[in-house]
Amino acid sequence: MNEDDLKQIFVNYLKKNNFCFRTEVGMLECRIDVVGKKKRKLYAYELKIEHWKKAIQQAILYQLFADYSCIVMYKENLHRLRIKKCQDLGLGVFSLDSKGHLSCILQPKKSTIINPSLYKRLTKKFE
Amino acid sequence: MNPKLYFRLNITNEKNILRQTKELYDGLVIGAHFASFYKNWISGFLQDISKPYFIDPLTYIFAIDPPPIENIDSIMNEKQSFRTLCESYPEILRSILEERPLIPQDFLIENNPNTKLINEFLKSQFKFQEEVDGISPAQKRISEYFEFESLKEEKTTVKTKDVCELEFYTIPYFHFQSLEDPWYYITKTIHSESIKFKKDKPIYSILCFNKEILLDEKNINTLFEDFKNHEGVIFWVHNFNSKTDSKAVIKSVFKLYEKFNKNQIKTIDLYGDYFSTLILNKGLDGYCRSLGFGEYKQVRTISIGGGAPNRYYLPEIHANLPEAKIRYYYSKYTHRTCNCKCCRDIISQHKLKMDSVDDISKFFDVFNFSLSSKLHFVYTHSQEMKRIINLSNEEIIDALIKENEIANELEIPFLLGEDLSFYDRWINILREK
Repeated sequence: MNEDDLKQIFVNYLKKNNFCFRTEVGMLECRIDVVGKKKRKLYAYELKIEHWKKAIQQAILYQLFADYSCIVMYKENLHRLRIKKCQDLGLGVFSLDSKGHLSCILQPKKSTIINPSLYKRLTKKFE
Repeated sequence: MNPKLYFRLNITNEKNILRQTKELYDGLVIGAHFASFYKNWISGFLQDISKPYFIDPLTYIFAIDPPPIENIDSIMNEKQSFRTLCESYPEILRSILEERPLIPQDFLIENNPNTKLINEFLKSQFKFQEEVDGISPAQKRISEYFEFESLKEEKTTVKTKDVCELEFYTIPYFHFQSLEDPWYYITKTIHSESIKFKKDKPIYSILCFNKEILLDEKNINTLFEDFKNHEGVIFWVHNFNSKTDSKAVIKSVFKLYEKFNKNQIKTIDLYGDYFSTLILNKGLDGYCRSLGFGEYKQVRTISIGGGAPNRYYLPEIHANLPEAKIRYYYSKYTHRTCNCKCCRDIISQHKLKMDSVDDISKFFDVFNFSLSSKLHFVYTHSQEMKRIINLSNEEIIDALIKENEIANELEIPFLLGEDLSFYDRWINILREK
């Protein structure tokens, strides 16, 4: 499994769940792997096979632009991810196994650091 | 001598920042390509700014093989200023540069230095710097006239002004990878030949080399013996980064500065960073920085313009952070807002309280990352320098320990992915002093 496979499976999940989505969305110096929109809420997803620290460092920045920010991690490496830390930081966590099964490990909290101008900019990507 | 902070003029739109903050730094570094291409503009600028300056001859650029951007023709075409700079070179070098980069053999005759060419090269470089400097005295006389007139008419005391003049001459330099590199031999010859050019101002050599050279202590002595004949030496340790390099490398660079400095030779770091600030008066007499960037530099990267990413200097860790990270940092820690004059002015102009994420967001929305970030850097960095040079070694160590603790409490390494291990290396090195 590589990050493209991960993305494909995840995007299918979003489609099934009636999300609008965009992939590889550039915001400031970030490149958000997947952004989903549902019921006027923005969800930013950082997909990672293994580098959990980088995943957290990226995902927290997405809290500037989106209502909810999540990490989607390959199940084999999920044990490395510090779930408690993710919870403290308000990040959601999904795990994805090699068979393509996706499960939600941690629900994201609504971001408390949304920068309105950036939020607007990300919303425009869906127009 | 008071330690000196020099700012490097990179683009013309930095003029206003440098003028606005001229009380906060000691001098300027002007790239020779800039000085030749914008001759009139530079002379006006220097007059306006009234600060001492020196010229970076940038001669190394013409000897990078393969050239940093595609081919030598690209340097010439992409950057007209380099072509203009070549016009001051001896004819023989000009014609070589039309075809290819310079190679050591261009300066050798049967493995001996071509002193005739080296002397011509030196002469051309001194003449070039004299010409740049020559424009300013006339203007100085004009300003003296106006000062005299104002004295006569208003009978008030005119504040003594800084002098805008060449502080010292610099000589051509090339990058050498080892002391066996022919470019070392040529640089050494340029230095020894330049001794006979007696000037009205000091002459400084510029040494540009690989950091590995310094790991052998014998080489530090060799460098000293070979380059001890002028009043000062400017160092550019290729790709030296005090934040990421090993303790051994940082120590060796420090030792090199000390070696010259203990022998009353002025030492300047051409691409300094915060570590340079820490060792001012401890081996280093001054350092140069670009406005916000240029803490370290590789020989092969030359600036050919183009947009820089949005960055903001975070004095807490002495680093430039990209916009998303800096927005995150201040959105998370709203109470830590920067208090420099630049940021204060923006805050008051937009009536922000900076106690909410909305205000932090608005602040960065109106923050001009191409200009304000440079101004913010000059204000904050000059404050840092002012604070550090008044501290003892012990106090500096304590300050670094405290900074590191705070940064870790704020989880800067974990959240922002910033490696702060340099604090331990710096502290250890300073403790050994």
